[in-house]
Amino acid sequence: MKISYQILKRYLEKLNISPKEIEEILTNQGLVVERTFSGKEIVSPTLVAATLEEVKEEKKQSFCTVRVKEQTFRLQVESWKVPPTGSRVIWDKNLTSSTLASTGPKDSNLLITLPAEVPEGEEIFPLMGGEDTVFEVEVTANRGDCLSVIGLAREVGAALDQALIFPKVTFQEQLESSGMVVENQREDLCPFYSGKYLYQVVVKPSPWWLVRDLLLLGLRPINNLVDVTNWVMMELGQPLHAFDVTRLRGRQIKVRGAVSGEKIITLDQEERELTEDMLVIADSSSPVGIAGVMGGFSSQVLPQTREVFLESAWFNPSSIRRTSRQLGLRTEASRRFERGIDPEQVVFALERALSLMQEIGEAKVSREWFKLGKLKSSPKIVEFDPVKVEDFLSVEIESVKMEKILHRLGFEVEARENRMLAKVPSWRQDVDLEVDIAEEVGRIYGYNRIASRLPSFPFDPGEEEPSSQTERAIRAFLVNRGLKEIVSLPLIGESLLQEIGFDTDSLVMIKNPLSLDYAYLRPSLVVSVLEVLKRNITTQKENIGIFEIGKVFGRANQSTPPFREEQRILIAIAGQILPPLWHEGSSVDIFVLKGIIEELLGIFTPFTREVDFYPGNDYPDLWEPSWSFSVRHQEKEIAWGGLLRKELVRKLDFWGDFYLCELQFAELMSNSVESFSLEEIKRFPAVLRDISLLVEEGVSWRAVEKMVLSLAEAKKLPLEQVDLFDCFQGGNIPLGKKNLSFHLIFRSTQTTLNDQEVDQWVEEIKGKLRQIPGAQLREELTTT
Amino acid sequence: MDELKKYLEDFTKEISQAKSLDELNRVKGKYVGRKGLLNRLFQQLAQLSPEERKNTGRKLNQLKQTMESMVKERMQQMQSSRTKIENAVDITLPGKKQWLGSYHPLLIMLDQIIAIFKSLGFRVETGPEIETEHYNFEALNMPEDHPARDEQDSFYLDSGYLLRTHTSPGQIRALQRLTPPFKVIIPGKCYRRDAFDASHSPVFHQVEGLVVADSISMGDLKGTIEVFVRRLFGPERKVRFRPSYFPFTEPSAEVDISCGICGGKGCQSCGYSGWLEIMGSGLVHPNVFRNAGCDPDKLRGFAFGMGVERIALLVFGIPDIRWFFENDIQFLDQFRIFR
Repeated sequence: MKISYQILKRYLEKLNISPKEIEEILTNQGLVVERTFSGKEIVSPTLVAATLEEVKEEKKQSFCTVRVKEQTFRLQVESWKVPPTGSRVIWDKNLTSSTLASTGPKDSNLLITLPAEVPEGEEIFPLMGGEDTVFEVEVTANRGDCLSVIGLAREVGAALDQALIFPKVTFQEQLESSGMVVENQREDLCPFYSGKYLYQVVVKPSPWWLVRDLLLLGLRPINNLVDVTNWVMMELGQPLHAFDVTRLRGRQIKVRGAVSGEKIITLDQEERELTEDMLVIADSSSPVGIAGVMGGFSSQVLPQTREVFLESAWFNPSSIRRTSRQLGLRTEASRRFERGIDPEQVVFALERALSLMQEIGEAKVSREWFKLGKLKSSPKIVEFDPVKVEDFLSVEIESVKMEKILHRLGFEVEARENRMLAKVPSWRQDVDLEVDIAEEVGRIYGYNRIASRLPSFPFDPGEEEPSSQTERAIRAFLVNRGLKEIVSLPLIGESLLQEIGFDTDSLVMIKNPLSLDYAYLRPSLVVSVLEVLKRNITTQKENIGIFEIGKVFGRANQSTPPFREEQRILIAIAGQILPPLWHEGSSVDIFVLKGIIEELLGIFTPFTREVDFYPGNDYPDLWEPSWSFSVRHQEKEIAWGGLLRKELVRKLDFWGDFYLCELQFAELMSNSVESFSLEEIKRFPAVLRDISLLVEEGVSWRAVEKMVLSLAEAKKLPLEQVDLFDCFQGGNIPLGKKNLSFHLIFRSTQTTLNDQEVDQWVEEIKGKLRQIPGAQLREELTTT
Repeated sequence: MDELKKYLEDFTKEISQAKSLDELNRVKGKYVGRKGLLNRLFQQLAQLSPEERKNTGRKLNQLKQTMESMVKERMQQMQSSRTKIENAVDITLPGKKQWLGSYHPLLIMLDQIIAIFKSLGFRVETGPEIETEHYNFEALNMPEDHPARDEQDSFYLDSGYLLRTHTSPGQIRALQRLTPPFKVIIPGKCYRRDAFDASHSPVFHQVEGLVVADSISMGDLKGTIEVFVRRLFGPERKVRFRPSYFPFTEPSAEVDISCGICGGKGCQSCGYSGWLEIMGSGLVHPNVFRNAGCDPDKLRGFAFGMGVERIALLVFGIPDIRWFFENDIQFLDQFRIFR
């Protein structure tokens, strides 16, 4: 909502503070001044009066010719916005035919109707009557009353303790009857509908003061009739609408529900299809306006209009809101109706319009009144305790002061014993409770006077949720491990999901997505990280080590809610293991990834020995064949991953080898450290033996290792570690075989081991290994 | 034991004089070999009492290891001196580094916010991202067709569910779960049907706060937020409370901080107002208590909610909200200095 300093001054006679102070008052009372403009910014000093010579239709497009003194200009226009031929209009003297051809007219004030008295070529700005400041105020959803000059003036008046000057109404009525039939079929959606009949109307440009005010408030002046309805809407907050009676079939006005599929061309010349729950104003055959949203094109007031029906109504806010949203049509009128307008001002606003109409133009008004329906008039009384109001606000404020504030805001306050009764003004539908009164008092008294303190009461915040602790531990580990944390978008595109081969039926779909690129909730972090990988690769950031902890979503049809959200951890690596330097680097591979996973699982002690990696997993489309794995703990899958399928990477228009793993957060959580047992410090020397074993290539290292470990456990051998240091194929190794070389490290916590006993254990282990079919011990390398 | 000391001294002298690998091996054999003094002493261990044996044994072992490592060191020295000249290291060569990890700037900010509230005695709770209209709107005093819903255009799923548009449903869940008095914050991801631009993202993070007791007032809110702002932004920043409107608080207040760039004088980044909006707040609306099954005559509370992106943009001077979700490695790498 815009308001100017000079306009404000008409309603607050004693206004003597600066525009800057007004800005502060409004902002500090909850009506934020988002911007201020000088008059020059709105009415540019380069604007002059011109004459609209001609409007022509060519190939379904409208063109007009404008004359300023000797010069003429031709430009394309939207026909419905153009004033009649011969009008005096606003033009920019800096415009040339060539700028018009290249950029078109930019200033929205161009071609606005001016009073005919303004001479052609005259500059507009000097007519403004001096500088002015326009405030653009952000009005919160609860304060429909402040979408009006009166509402904002009242707010400033309350701060300054000044009375508001209310506009006066005087108009003449004639005996003439309209011969109109006005009917309201939907009192549920339109509890009150009123109207007046005007005749012998002369439609012409508005006087300069009205043109000026509308320009400052951001509205486009059209003609005296339309301008008066718009001005009254700005002044009082009540939208009005004027119909050309001769173009209402059957001289009829019917407030009714739309028939499904019914169409109307609105003032902006758009055809709109209506649905049954929308309220329309119709004549005897079809809609002539969408109630409270926008009038119809067919019945609009034109220069030749002589008879007018002027409407002022109170429409159901929810109905207006729904209609305007459904049609995607937000107008100055709908903004006001959907917040609820002052029911006691509906008729007054109509009278104010009639009064202005007669003041600035020629119009006769019939004494006939159309008033259909009734507005409930019992005022709301809110009882409040001044002490409690002080307490809510943490301020000390005398009740006399409270009363004064409320009085200036339009409340009638009456003391009753220790309590007070406030009669809520009709325009403040938002005030219901004692806390609402507290806010009103606080707003005007000043939030800056609230005394700060800290809440003090006994409360044990308790332990952190275990999941937060786990999450923090995982994040810290991965960051310390050199990975970068990312936050990717959980919203995923349909085409991406199809490329990957996810069945979209099993996914959570958004019914009203921004676009198909954000139509699903990710079923896996892998999907949303692809975009991140691509973005980095395509800008030559090829060394990637990233992780994310975030939610994935799925359907859970048998439960409430029928959706599942689950925390997962994603790790992705690509590029060099170490930063490129003056030494030779090597690239990451699947074992670098596995190392990170093993170390991460190592935080959760029960995992260290009970986790197994298996080839393959449930998402074969994501991975290179035979380069994928699944991680299980006691037969339960806790993670999966692999080398991202190269074909998929190519399809998504990037390149590189990416090793990814996704882990289930909940599984880690349920296995987090519960008991801790300290290991004794080893103080005796370790003994090292190496074994070199030739096996069939199908024999896994894990199987060999397990064999050694289980023997050591069964025989209670002080075997501390089994470390693989070489796995080799090719060279002089026979085809179909591989060589595994590993250290066995023995160490006792009790005593120094002697060579003989260690040799004996190694023999036992070798004996066991010989049982592996096809296994062969190679030359034994021994060190001490 | 002096004998051992002398033995080590002689050994040190001899190996430093050794000029070839052969000589070195000879010295090694003399001292550490089978016929060396050390081995003789080992053999004598058997004659000692168990206590002495343990003690002396350990000392002999240590000596043996020391000597062996000295031989190794000398050997390496001899080998490397063939290729390298002493003191010729070029210390200006780059050091051998590891990749460094980093936390995401949004979560750095979130962690800092959480840490401040924890130090003020707040409990941290979480809630689902898929919500019902009841929790997201109705229970928060925003019935259907409430104009305030316009500012929170939602992503709808089927069966009447939606993606939460704010963390405020956490207020209702906290009221239902915790016994007053309490202080709680609820951080998390939120979703609104806003197209991406420099200052909007359909996915963003919020931190909700709720304090409930029998005697809460606007002063408690103001004091708490002032402490928070000073800790997060620094003591020189001013805080302004300004009336506003949220359906679930009454009275409501918007919290502004003085602009850190112009110091409150007004500049482009604060829209020439000198102030930056950082959160919404207010006293819990009686209807919210009622909708959560609590008695508004017995309880009072304050609530606040802030956008993490907005704060992170301010703190780190990031020009575009989309940078958070692009996850460019070069962008992320800059935050490795924050813990």
